[in-house]
Amino acid sequence: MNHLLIVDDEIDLAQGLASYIEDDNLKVTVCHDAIDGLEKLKLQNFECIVSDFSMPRMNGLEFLKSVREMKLEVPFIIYTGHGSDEFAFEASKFGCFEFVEKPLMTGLLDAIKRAIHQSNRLKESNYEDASLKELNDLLNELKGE
Amino acid sequence: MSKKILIADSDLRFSQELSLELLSNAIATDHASIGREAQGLLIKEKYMALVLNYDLENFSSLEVLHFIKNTDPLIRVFMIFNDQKSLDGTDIDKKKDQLGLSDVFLKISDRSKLVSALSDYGAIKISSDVAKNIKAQASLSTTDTVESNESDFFSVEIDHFVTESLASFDTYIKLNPGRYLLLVRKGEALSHERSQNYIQSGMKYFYYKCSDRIELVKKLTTKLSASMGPRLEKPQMVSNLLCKSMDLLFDEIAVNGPQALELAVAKDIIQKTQDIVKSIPDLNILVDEFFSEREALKQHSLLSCLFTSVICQNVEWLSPKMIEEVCLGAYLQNIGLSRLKFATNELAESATEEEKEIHKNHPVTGYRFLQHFPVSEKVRQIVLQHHESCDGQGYPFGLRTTKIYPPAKIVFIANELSELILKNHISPKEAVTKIVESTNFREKYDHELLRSLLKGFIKKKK
Repeated sequence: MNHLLIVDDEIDLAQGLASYIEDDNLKVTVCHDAIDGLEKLKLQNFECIVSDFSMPRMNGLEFLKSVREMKLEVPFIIYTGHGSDEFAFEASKFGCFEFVEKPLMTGLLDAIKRAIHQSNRLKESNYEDASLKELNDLLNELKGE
Repeated sequence: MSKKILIADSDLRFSQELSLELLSNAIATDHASIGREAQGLLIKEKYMALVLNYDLENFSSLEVLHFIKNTDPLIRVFMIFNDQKSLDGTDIDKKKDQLGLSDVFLKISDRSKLVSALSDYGAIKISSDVAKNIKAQASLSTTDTVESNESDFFSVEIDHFVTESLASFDTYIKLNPGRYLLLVRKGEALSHERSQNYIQSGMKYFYYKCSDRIELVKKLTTKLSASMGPRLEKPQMVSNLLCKSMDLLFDEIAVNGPQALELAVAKDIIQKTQDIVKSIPDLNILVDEFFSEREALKQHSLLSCLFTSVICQNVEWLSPKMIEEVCLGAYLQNIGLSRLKFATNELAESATEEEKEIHKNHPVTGYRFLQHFPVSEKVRQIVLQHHESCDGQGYPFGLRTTKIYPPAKIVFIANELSELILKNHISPKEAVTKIVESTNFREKYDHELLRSLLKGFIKKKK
């Protein structure tokens, strides 16, 4: 089962989002504080992190930096409000998988799916073999045309 | 009715010269050097006219005429004499009706009249001046015609070209649909003056075999690069070269992949991308100015945009709106190079340390530049990360796999593909193969996106 971490100080929004996207294949853990989120990351593996930018104590960018300091490569999605240009630039330095703008979070669900897919690709030991075989087949097809 | 003419004359050079003039008027010819050979051909083939030298040997011209009376009385016969003295020594001129001759000419001095008379049967309306020019300018020993599908040839406006670069190709003119006359063989010189003569004669296009197209693009690209000095002396010419080069490249891609449908969509998306830029007036002015000084860079950006679109069309997770944004990112990817005077995106060997630093930072510069305009963060992120490689060897941040913004990975591949084509002068198909067969492709590129690229080049099964 895939595991998603949502970090947002707006409790209603985070819970609503979690209940909306959780299903048989996706377990969602919600934290209302980035520091709590870091604690969760020490104990469990996640396939994707979704974080708000504006949060008390530790904002989304600081949270992202801390995740990378823990040597975690997990895809990180941030949703942001207005006036976040400079933050986006800084976040991209630390590898932000996707930026989703508030309040229109239409792309969030798709971004989560892509991020989990990417994350699983890296973990699957036989993924690369299958991927290379498919590439090789396509290349042979191209050459044969 | 057959459009062929038989030339019966022992003088091979004369026959070849006359053949060339007639070919430029869409009239094919056969040649016989003796009377016996002429009779043999007249039995085998149906000709609309016969050019018969009075002094023919091994079955005289009069014997050939007698033979024709019995076998093909409708054929028109033009008798030619080597000189006036030869003509004066006979009474043929007076007896031409009796002998069934259409007319009588002197071989050398009356040749234009002869050509004109024969060309009355011609199929296309090229002026006689054109024929004269072709005759005068072409190397007459290398005449040839080719009958082929129209799809095997492509046309190029003569005045779009820097003519010396064309000597590397067989160059044709079109006689009529599916029929081409070889003007210049590969390796022969085609001077500027000569090409100008063709233009003045009313010809607009040269034709080339499609198999030479990528080579022609290569020549154009080389010429473009050479024209991109600090001072652009002929901007209009360069612009024309660029347009033509891109058109040819699109055509090449249509033939050698990606498949035509996706190419058509890609062209449409590029158009939309340019329209988006135009809809932001301030940005449009700056982008126009940027590309006008860097035509080769524009070519690279357009090509990247094209391949980006091809990949996008085979990526499930992109919406049409998002595809437009990714393509816009591809189009604007190098806008951060505006602080450099280089015409291409390659760093010159002579670049100073400062220039190298500027070059390395151009994704950041581009990102900052676009913050001043109403383009989305997605587009800006693509510009910022278009040189990030999955193996962490890219720049400016050296990000790896999941840390790279996914659409930027698409532009990264398209970018590499475009560079391979333009730098190494290889076909798109070869470039794709080269990327997938490169030693470090496993680590460098996103495999799923490579698959999307390959799918764009493979014809879909019906």
